[in-house]
Amino acid sequence: MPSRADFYTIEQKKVETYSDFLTDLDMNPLTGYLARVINEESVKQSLKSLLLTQRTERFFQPWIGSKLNGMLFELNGPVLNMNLENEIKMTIENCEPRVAVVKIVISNGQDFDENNIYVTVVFSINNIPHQTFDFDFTLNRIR
Amino acid sequence: MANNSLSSSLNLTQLDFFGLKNSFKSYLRGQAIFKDYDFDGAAFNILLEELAYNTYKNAFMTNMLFSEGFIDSAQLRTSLFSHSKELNYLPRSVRSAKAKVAVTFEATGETQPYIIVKGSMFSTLIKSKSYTFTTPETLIVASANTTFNFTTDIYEGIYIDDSYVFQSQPNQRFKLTNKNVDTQSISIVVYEDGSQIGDIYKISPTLLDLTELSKVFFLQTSETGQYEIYFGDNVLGRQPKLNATIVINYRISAGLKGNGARVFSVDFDPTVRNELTSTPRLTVIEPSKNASEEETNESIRYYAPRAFQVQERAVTATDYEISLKTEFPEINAVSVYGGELVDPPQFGKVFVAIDISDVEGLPEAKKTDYFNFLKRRSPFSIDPVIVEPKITYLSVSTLVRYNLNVTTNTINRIKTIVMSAIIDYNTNFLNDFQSTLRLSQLAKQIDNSDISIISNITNVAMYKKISPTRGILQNIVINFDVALLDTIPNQQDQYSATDQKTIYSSLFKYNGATCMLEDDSNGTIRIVKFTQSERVKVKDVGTVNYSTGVISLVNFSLDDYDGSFLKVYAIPEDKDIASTKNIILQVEPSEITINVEALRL
Repeated sequence: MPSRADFYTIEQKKVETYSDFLTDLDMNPLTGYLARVINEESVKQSLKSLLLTQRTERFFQPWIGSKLNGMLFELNGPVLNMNLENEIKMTIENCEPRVAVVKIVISNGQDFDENNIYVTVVFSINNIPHQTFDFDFTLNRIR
Repeated sequence: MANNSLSSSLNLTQLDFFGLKNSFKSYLRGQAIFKDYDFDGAAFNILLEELAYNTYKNAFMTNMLFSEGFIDSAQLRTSLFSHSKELNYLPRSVRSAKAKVAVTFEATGETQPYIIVKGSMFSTLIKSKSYTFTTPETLIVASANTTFNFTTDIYEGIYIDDSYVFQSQPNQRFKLTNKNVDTQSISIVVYEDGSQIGDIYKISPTLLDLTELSKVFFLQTSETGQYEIYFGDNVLGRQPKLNATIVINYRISAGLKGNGARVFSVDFDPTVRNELTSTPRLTVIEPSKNASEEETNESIRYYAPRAFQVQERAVTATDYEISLKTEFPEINAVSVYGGELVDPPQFGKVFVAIDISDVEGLPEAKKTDYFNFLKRRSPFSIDPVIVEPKITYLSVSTLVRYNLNVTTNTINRIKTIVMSAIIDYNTNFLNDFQSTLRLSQLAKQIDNSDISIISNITNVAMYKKISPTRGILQNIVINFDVALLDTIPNQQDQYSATDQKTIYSSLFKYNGATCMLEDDSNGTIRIVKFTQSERVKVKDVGTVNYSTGVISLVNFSLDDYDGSFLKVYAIPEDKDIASTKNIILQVEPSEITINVEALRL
């Protein structure tokens, strides 16, 4: 006969080191309050926001953001990939003190004609030891 | 990063973006739901920036709005116009350059008299650019023979018309469409009931003496920075009838660029009907001058409150100065003193000495203009007397010692630096009425002009320029208007050239010998023969009153002198020299002597 302990799973309450709201200001359907992202999800959202922000876009802080958008007009090839990697690394080092980059993988997908660049950033987060996380995003020209 | 202090209330008194953002961050430290507000990529951080930027913009706007609300801090010209309107002050417009020409032409004379209409054009080149000058009024020219001539003032700029129809709405204002209007040239003709003959309306700067029949218009600045006119309300000033046509004629000017034209050509046929038998000849009596740009913002800021204080009356000395300077931009400096101060006293008169830019002395026409302007504003029993400024020149000699060990400057470079310092002193502290040369301040300015200068020994003498007629006996009075040095021992009839004198002059020829004027330290002025080593008396020619500074030359004559004037020097008793009444102190660069001694310390 199963014991009482089998019906309950002991879960330590997750420590909230970082927390933010969603960039689209979505609501939590249960509480009706602003929905939140915490810890690695919050950091990923921050990374996405930083990497997709063009430098000079933020008021009075022209150094925040990356030059990725401008680089998408370069010739697609290994040099571009290397430059993208450097730019991503530099942006994270300059603007996101919570993150240490472990690896950045850049690929053109299955077909060169997709005109997409797929980026995976593998990183660790300060205050969340012994874990790495990865964050994928796609770069493509929209005009 | 923000400081770590917690804030329970939001502080929005900061004026810069980062201060505001840090205030928001301090406030958010009091909550634990959203912890990422301090990281650049976080959504909350972006929201904070939007809030900080919005608050910053509002603070900036509020600051600007309040600045524009006061005449002291307003930056927009339209705001200054509005403030000056409250003070009943009309900012001065651009003013055309004025020249005077005489034109002679030969014509058959069949349809004379010839009418030279207002706005007839003359052209000129100034610095390779073409400018048009026009006549300010219509002239009628007639002659008993075939030679016609006329003399006229001409003003830079052409005349244009703005036409409006007077309609029924209240408070109608009629804008002058061109910003470069010279408001002194505005004339208005009102045509009523379809009449071909119009009524001339004149500008009125005041409501005094106006009736419901007065044909006047008022000039003011508009909210767009242009000038506009409006009419009376049939109580103070006549209002044009409904549907009356209003034609505003005025001159548009290029301002200061019109100054300095010396050659003109006639661009119109004075006979109108092609009756000329030769090309018109033109003589320039006065080249173009007295133009000015529109009043600057700083000038409006300075004069508007003072003009309000003066209230168009000239009672105190400052009233005279402000009234004149406000109306006549060419005036450089004004000194006003009562008739009781002149010798002999003239009670009931106020003396107004006026120095105008770029002109030596004061032309009679200008004196009349200034007199007419002041007479209307002076108290009934006071007569203004316009007098020319008298210049007392200052000769500066200085021995400058400098330390070679602290500079790489050469002696010539030091001389140039000291020369600039003395000229700067002249510009900043002299060259004006009621100014005082303080010798210690001049010496200080020389000392401070370069770090290597250790000391200076500076002496100042005054001099006046006189232009005696050659070969004619004449009496000349020279008034320095300050006490002169009276402590030098009496001189014999023959003495060393190195002996100090209170009075001496530049060289001239007398009876074939090179001579100069000197005093004998006992109140007598004499002609002395000049040699490098000594002076020998030739004859007595006048007296000097050391206490009043007046030199009287009696039956003085000379054969010749270099240039157009003789310089008569005097050493003042007091090393600080003050100008009074109509005297202006001025240092001429040609009379600055600088000796430099290099030392190694």
